[in-house]
Amino acid sequence: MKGIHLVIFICLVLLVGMHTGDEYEIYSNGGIRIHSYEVGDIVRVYIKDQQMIQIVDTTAYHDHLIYAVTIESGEIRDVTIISHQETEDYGDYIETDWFVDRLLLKCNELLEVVKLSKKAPNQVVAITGATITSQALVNGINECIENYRRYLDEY
Amino acid sequence: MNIKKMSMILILILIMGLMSCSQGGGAEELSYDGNLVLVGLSEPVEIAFNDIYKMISVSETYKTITSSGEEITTEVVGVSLNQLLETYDAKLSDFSSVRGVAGDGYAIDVPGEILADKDILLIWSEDGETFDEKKQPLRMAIHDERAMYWVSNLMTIEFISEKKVVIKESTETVDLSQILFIEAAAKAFDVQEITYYETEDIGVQVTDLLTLANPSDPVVFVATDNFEKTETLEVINQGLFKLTGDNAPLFMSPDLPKGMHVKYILQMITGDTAFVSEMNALEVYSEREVKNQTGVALEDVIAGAGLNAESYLIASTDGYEVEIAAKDLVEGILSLHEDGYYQVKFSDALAKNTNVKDVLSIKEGSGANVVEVESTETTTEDVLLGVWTVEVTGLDDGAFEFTSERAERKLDRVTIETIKTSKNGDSATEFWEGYKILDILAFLKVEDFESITVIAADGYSKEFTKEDVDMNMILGVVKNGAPLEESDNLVQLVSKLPSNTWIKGIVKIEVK
Repeated sequence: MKGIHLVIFICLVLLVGMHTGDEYEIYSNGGIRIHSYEVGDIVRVYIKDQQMIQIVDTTAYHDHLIYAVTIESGEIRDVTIISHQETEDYGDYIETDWFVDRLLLKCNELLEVVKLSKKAPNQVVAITGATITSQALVNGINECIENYRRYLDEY
Repeated sequence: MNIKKMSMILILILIMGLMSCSQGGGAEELSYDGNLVLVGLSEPVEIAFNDIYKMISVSETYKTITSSGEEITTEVVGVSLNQLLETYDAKLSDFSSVRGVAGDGYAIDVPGEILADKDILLIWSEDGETFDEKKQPLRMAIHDERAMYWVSNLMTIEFISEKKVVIKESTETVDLSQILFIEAAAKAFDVQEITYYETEDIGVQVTDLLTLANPSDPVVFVATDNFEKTETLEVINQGLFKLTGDNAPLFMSPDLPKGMHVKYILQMITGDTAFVSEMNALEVYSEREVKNQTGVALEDVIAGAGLNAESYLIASTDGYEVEIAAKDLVEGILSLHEDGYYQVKFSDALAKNTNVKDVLSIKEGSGANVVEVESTETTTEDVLLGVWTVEVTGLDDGAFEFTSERAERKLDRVTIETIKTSKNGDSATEFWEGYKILDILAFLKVEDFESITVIAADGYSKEFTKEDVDMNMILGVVKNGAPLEESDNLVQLVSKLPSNTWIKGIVKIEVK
């Protein structure tokens, strides 16, 4: 009897194990996950050729803000918002193309949030009325830039 | 089941039924951790949201108006803020404004005018539905007021009373004495680039504009849709007027909650000055046509701002001033010139020199220099201009001597930006004022032509085709702000064509 119980238990453990996949894998572009670079708010790092895709889970104005940052050849190539709880008509503009376009900059400097207008190449004008959300997003991107630089140094 | 058990069940059902039917009870089934913070009372107060839910509630039918003007009627359930304030020996009408602050930072001031007449309900249910997570725990509701005052996710209420004294003092001591036009006044200051959502706009610091006035509390905004909002100078000094793009002029600041921004400003009144948007004045006041130009009634603009005098001194950004009697305002309009500036223009009942280009301000006049109807008074500007005559030939009825005096009296002087290229190839921008050739031809009733030949005093002549003669070909009399003074060149043909086609000292134009 005890043997049967043990077999059932092992089967259950295996089944549970098989269902525990990587929830962010769909953003990996088929890259290899590198656990050692997953620090701070960066919860996933994938490398595919020259591309570094990082998943950031940070706290914005409301709760979690999760997004994927793709850096390639020293430039931020894409920022995809995976989920957020920001207020409608305020912070939820982070999903718009026009705001994401503001983030697609070179990585030779960390990004800086400004409130009214851009005066330098590394500056990102915050969404009107949603400075905290904008800052949270940019902070996470800056972590990604630093992580990317570290990766370039080490490899 | 015995009778005793049956009776107990029936009694329980009855009690539950009675409870559900009872009116005025609190929302005891609701629960929300945290406290509503009341600031500005005799001492700071925090009340647990769960305690508010248990207070005696009221059910009312309230109407609100959305930003798009849609009226929404809703059944609300909540508690009266006035009733709540009784505990603290206060009432809403004691305060000059009440600021509702939401958990996400949205804040809006409910002005004293509303508080004087209306209660605020702190509601937790609309149309029988309790709020979702985003609106919880409470929402402010004011009957028949705009939705922006209905602050959801309400966390703090600030009661502002100290400004009331200032308002009283201000309104008792300060009379309005001038209108300053926002768009024209802003030209004197550095523009601020503003990235507003997805557009690039420009604006000006409100503190810059206020240097032209004697500002004092309160600051009252009026928008084009008659929306009124009272603010303090402290708040206003943090902001900008966005002058272009959506919602312009828009009072805004990245450091103020969006709920405190004011869009489509018609006027902002502070101290002795009404800052009026020319752009929006043209949208709201009644239309009038003067000399084939459509604008808005000048007396409406002045009355709308609240300025009331026997005469008005109307000034341009270049310092030109003219004083007009109040009774003659009905002859005038505020209009947009095709060159992009706003102007005050009067009918032929008043002399042409009463027209004011790029109008900056309208102030109470002293009455000393009022221009009379049919006045022929001349201005310094007129005296400075040279006196010339150009003969225009080829007209249906022969020839006509077109003089500088007639040009100034009958035509609008326009400004064009030109490029002058010297023989060695250097280029320089020049600004020329003068009279459009097309206006002159229209004045002389020339309905159609093939070309014109322009002839100078020294005999030099050049023919221009109809295509060459566009809105930018003028008889120039003022170059870079200075009237032409050389006796042999008091009037010069200039245009956007290459500068080697310009002709000095014109004496004759042949129309073909």
